[in-house]
Amino acid sequence: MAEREHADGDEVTRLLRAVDAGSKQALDTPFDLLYGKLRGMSHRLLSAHLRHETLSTTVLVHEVYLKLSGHRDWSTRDREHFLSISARAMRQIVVDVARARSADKRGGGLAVVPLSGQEPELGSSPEEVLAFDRALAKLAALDPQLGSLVELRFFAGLSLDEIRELTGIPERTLKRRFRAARALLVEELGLAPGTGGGR
Amino acid sequence: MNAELRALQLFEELIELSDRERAARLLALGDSALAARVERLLAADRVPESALGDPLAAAAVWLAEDDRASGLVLDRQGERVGAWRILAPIGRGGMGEVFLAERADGAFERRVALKVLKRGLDSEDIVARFLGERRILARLDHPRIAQLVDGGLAPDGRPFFALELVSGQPITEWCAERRPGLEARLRLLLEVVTAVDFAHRNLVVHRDLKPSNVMVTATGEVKLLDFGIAKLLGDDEEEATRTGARLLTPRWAAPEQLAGEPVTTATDVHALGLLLRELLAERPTGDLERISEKATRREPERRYPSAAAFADDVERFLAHRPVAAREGALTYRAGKFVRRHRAAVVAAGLILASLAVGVAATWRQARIAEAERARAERRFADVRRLANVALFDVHRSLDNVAGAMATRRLLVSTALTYLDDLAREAGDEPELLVELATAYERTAEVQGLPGWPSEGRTGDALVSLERALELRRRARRPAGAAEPAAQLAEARLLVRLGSVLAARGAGKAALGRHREALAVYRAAAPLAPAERLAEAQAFVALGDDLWELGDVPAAAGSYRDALTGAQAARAADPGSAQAIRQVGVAEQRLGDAAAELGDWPLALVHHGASLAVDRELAARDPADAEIRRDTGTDLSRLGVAYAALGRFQEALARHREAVELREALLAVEPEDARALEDAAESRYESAKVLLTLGRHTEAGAELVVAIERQQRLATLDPGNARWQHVLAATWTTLAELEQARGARSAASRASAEALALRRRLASASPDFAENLAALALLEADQR
Repeated sequence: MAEREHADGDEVTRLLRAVDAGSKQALDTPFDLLYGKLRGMSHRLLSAHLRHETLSTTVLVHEVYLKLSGHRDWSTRDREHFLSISARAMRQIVVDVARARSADKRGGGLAVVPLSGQEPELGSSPEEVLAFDRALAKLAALDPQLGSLVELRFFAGLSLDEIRELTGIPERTLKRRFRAARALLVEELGLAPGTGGGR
Repeated sequence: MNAELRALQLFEELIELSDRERAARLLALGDSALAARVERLLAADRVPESALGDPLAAAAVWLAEDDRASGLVLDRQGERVGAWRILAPIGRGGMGEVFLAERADGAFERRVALKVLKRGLDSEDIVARFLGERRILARLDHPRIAQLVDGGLAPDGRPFFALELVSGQPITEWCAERRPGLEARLRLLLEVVTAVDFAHRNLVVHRDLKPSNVMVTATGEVKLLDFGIAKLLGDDEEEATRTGARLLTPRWAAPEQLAGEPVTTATDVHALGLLLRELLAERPTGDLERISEKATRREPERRYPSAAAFADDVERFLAHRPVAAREGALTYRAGKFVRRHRAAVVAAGLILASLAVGVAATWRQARIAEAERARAERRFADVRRLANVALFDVHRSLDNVAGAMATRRLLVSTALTYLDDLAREAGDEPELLVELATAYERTAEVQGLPGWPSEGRTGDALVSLERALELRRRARRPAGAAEPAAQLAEARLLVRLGSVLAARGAGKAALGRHREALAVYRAAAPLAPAERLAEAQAFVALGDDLWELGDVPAAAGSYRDALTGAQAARAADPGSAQAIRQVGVAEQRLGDAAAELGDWPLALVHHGASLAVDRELAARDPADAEIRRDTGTDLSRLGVAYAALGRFQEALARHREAVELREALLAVEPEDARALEDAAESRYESAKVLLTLGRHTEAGAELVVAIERQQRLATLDPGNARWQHVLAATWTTLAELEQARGARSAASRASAEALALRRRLASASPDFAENLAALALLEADQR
């Protein structure tokens, strides 16, 4: 297992460097690799975190990052590529899961059974997750930088500080940008007072 | 779209303004549609967080549920797991499923809670750790601790643990339901603390204390669950730094766990502090707040030094006595010491703790009446003996244990403090001065002796060694000429002093010290085998100095003297690992000299001989870090020799093996200067071969890593010229690589870095001949 991860790490490093060298095709390969990796680890990790008060998909990205980067040294560029590609992969996973859920419901498939009662109360439905994804897509179309900032924050789980370090955007600007993103998303999701748009 | 973007920009400008300013700005726009759009965004900004929900959290739960849908949770009733038969499911938690189970063979009647871990947790490692810890965990026989009864692999390959069955409810729930008074709550907490303290005294840290692991039974008894389990699951220090504290509950984790730093008993003390806060119906005030604050401080060493000390303060509160405001520095040090290290050094911790008492008592007693004098002197002698045991015996045992750096540093500096105190008391007693000199020498070893695993602080090491030399010379002054043993000890000290000087680029001063040392050995001839070895070491050091000063043939002569001495010592005592090792060292240097003089076939012979020695030594003691380091060096040199002979595939194979070995050593000691240097070297050499083979991308990757390692080194020890020197060489190679790739600007950037370093080096240490030559070449290049 450790050896496999080692090999994957090498592969990822190589691919990330290829991304750096500007090969467009290289971009899809790490995405697929990371998608598979993240999906594969989701069972173990998310279940382990189920009991905990804070629950997030972003643990996965960090975990995969640590596993794949291993002891080798990724440059800041590698790290940035890795995290943004992972964030995108994670987003895709979440959307795929939500779609499958939504289809189950419509087709009268699996009922969602609550776990042992220890998980946090959740009000969200698959439709809401998909709406979030659509809202994010609109936001990214309007302002691509804002779109990738949100992805890094929500799907790669980076803190403001980490995003600041990675992107070099000053903290104050970053905070303003996130407030803007939030306002747009809130509006798009129809959560703002007096708006009906979104879903 | 443009209007939308404009609105977004305006929004970002306006959110930092007051309401009135916003309104004024919007009015001034003169574009009511745009103003309305911005107003809507501002309204959206005011929507509270709670209204938003978290769709991602929901998705996370679905992901985990997929797990169940795919049939991972089975109906396992009646199934046999190890010696146990499953009776019924009890629950499901983060780490897996829990079942009620009984002995399958009916050997005795016992029901247990059987935890079957989730698939995907690293089974083999967990079982291996379980086997390693089993004896310790079995010793945790305490009425308040649920015992770990058994463990192993279930038939489907998942690890399981059998734990004492506890029926009860989490302590917080129990308190919420029964609403006991403050004193009863604190008494309950004290029971928890007693159990934790018991575990700590048996060298087991819980690591994951939280209400769901602290149960209260129907009869009102406290039981702690999962003691030692967190560690079995691999959340130990090394693992934590790599993978993050993945199984932790963030709310209950201590800062050091979240930061991936070592987990100690202080981590449990932190959790106890949180538990105290949680158990009180209201926010703690006054002394209780102070107790909880002290237990949960960010820095582990500023918390209560032990669970017992925490308990003491709670008791003091209950007895209406003032709580301990602050711990003394000495208690802190001893406490931290005992906490930090496990069995191997616990003995030393106890010694140091008694030293604290001993020194204090000595001072007091020495001042008491004359009649007490004899007793005080005996006490003094005891303290001194203890300090020496700590310093020499225990410290020695850690010499070649990789990863023991922090322990060694603490041990040495603490013992040094006591000896210094004693020396102040004792005046100029020669024997004590010699002990103190040795203590300084030990300190230097930890600070930065070349060739030792160290922190790379050669400047501090130099000061310590000079202090040691001064003490030794002061010790012998009243007696006139030194005894042979003292002379030889001084010679060894001189060798070390010279080596530190050499490492700092003061080649001529180093040469002087080494010649002094060799003169002592010559005068003391004939030498015993052990001293013969020390002399051989001095010859090697002298050779190194000569080399650094540019006289390689003379260096080779000195290495041959070293080889002759080492071979004689080996012949006198064929079993001596040290003698064998010294032969290896001399062979290695002779190989280096041959290489430097361009005699590559001869270099292959000597390095081959050296590698053979290392393999022989490694077979005797595979864990010896020093031998593994030497092996790495030989592999690296062989690689260089093969490359010089045009045998690139063989060269690459050697370098690759060296990279693997050296990176493994670096992983154990990430702050070790030598491990950093070695890893960088092998990366660099691999890169050079790869460059020759035209494998530019791989070469570039190796060089980037090498530079990172070398920059870390240079930061760690800015005064050491060698690091700057190798860094310059690596930048030069990177420049070549970029040139070959056709990346001209990258090439000139790298070459500028190299030039700047060489200039600095040449001005700082003019006797570093190679710098001058390299500088001249680089400057010629740039022109």
